[in-house]
Amino acid sequence: MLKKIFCWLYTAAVFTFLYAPIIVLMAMAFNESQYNALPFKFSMRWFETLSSNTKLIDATMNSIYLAAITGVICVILATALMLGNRETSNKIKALVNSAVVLPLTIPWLIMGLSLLLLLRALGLDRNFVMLLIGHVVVSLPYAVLIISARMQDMDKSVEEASYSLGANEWTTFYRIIFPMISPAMLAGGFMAFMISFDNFVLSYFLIPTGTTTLPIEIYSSIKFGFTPEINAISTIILVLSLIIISIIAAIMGSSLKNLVR
Amino acid sequence: MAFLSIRNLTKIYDGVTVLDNINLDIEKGSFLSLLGPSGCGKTTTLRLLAGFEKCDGGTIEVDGKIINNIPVYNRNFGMVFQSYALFPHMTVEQNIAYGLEQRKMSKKDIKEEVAKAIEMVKLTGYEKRKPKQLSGGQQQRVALARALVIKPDLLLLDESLSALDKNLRVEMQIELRQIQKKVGITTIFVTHDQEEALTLSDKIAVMKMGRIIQMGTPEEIYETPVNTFVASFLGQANFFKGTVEGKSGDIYTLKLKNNSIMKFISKKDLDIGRLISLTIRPEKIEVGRTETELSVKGKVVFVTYVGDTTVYRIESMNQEVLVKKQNSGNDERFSIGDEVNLSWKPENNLVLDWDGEE
Repeated sequence: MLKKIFCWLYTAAVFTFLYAPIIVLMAMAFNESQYNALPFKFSMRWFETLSSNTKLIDATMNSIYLAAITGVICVILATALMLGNRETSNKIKALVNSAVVLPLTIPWLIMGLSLLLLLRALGLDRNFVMLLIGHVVVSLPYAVLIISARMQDMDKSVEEASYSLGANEWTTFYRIIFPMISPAMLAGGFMAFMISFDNFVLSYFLIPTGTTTLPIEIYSSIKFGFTPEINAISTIILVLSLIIISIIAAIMGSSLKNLVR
Repeated sequence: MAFLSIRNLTKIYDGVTVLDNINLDIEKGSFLSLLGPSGCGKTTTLRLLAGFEKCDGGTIEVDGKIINNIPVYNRNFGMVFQSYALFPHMTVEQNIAYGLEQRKMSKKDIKEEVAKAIEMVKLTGYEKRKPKQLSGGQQQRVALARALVIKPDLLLLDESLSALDKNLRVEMQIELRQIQKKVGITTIFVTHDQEEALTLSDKIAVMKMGRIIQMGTPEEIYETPVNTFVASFLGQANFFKGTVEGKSGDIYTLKLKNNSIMKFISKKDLDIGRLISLTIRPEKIEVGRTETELSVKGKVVFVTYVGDTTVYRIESMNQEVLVKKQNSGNDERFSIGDEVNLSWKPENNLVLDWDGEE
């Protein structure tokens, strides 16, 4: 009995530790006080001021734009890479698999710095393309991990069955392989989107002057006085992410049920 | 002229020869099993036939045309995989229609053909199900229908029944054979299950280490195996390994490797000093009390009752001899410790070569 109570307390403590800060952040978005101070007084004030804060909204839109392109590129690259990789010898397979997830172990700081140095060496200014490349490099491993995990579960003979029934490579891809891996592609893309959306370090190094992303904007707003508008926009983003995650989980769930025998 | 002929087919993986000059001829409409232990090259042969892999030498000829360089999707062979490999996101109907769609048939014709195929494999009522909603046997039938509906020139089956449980497997064997005969399709079946091969095949090719050891009808292979490997792989067999020591008339004396002496009759002329393995199937040995000139003495050490038969393990000539008797009720039954005499008809002992090793 005592053991059971202890288990519950422990679990509760872990979850409190994990989620309390987020809940506080969300609650404070609805608090009247400008300094996140108590007592709590419900107000939609910060959402109203947010709606007229074009700087913050622009930054958010930039982030979404950048993350969306990053997500799409990562899905295409990861899928093509993993499809091609299956056809190669085991040696090359292992090499590619480790090379592509290696960026996970490289600190973003160093990655950002090296890309910046590369720009200098090329004599270029900071530009959107380099920023995008940076984001793709750090997000790609996540997309690859998710998509390759799905592909490893896939029975190669399903494809072979398609060939033996008279379908060529292209037909086999869009009628057999694509429907089987599309949930993983979606999940991988969303993962890459989130990694990019959230990334501060690389953006800080590589962003062209005059533009900004949400993480950078939040960071600088801390320096110059922090208003609960940040809480408000964070709350909106959190809720949107939750909705998207639920949708993806639903898609993945139902399609996984179809795929599992 | 055979419908399918394979000449000197060779396949090498990373310097290892997995197929070594395979030659095969198959008549149109017949059912051939490739039988052998794992790693014998039977699946590789099938995959080369299907076109999933390229050979390193030799030719595959179907109906007079060499098909080595024709891609899989232009070969028009039906294949049933060990895992069935059904398309998980498609219904039964869609799975079966897939091959016909690739052949640019009209929607109406496809519908008709699919309905016929579903009826043939007795899956009427399951059209809209997804593969995971079907049992193993049903999935197997879908895979078979999907392979047959394209009217292939050749049907390739890769251990297709192995995943089923025993009763269902036997049922599917019969069904498969009936459908195969009805459609009249030339079929190549890869299996490691000797019983399955015996039941289904017109011809069996026994393979070992990338070579075909023997090819013939099930009866030929079972009754007259060319060596001890074939004899022990198909069914059970007792081997008396030793040296031919003497001869009087057609009665030979065999000195076994454990120095026991036994006598046997051979119609074939055998040289004195030849190393042989006298091979006798367990069901061909008679167990009795009476001693004859050629009978050998033994002592029952173990009795296993298996319903229709009783299996005796008999210690004879310092080795264990396996004897299978039908439980017809006509013969005397023995129990552990009984002293018995073993005998067999001369035509039932086979003289096979022995390489002098175990």
